[in-house]
Amino acid sequence: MKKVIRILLLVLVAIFIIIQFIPNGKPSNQPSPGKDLFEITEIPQEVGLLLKNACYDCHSQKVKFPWYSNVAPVSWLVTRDIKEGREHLDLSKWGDFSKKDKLKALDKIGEEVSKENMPMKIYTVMHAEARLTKAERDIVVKWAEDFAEKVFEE
Amino acid sequence: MKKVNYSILVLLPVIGFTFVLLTSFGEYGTRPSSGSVPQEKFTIPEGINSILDKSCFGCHNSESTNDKAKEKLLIDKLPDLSKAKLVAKLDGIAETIGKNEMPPEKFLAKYPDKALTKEEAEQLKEWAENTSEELMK
Repeated sequence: MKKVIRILLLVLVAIFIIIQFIPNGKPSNQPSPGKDLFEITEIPQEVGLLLKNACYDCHSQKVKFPWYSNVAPVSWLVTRDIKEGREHLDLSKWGDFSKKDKLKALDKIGEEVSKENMPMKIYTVMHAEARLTKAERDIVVKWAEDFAEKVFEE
Repeated sequence: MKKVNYSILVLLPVIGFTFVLLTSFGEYGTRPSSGSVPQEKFTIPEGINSILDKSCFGCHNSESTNDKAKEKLLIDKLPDLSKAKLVAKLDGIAETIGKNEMPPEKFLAKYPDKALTKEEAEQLKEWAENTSEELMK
């Protein structure tokens, strides 16, 4: 019995080591100057902090990668989430958005944040600063609404 | 006796004011609506309304039990939205219809008669796009 457990453990460790060598195309940060939301828009400090803490690790080209994001299989999850996140909304490309794209994005932000779909639960497990309180959610939602009005008037 | 006089004195202007109000409203209604009062309220044309009614409204209304559908779009609440939000919603409709994502396949398997015909989908998409363009002018 002991032998079986030992073999099993060895196999697991071997698998763990082997999967580290599977290339997974971890996304890199490729910011284009002058396009990021923060570079071209004045954002209230309070809101800015929430966006950076709760959104920017997937929805931007300014992702902060923690050490464990280099270790498979976590790296696979991180890769998938960042790729998908950027596909839906990349705030580092705000400058390339049409007026319509901006209005749509802001509407979505309000929706996802107020319904607590975002930030994703799996992300907030490791990122306490991204766990938004109800009041903080309201701040983001209100900002998205007000900002949409401004964009609309532009 | 004096009290009665007083009450009539107070009532007279009230009655008079009400009369003026009522008659002026009457006049207002018969005046041809020639643009002086802008029609700001968002309305859905009849043809589009019947398409929405057939294929969309069943889930996308405030009384619906389908929470996911309610999150995405409430057709009956569209007139209450700001223009900025309305543009976003209309664009979402155009995109969803354009990608042939709605009504969902599972739903159509159960209710095949709720499917959008090609013409209806085209009409709906065009309306959403045009209305959103119009709002942004």
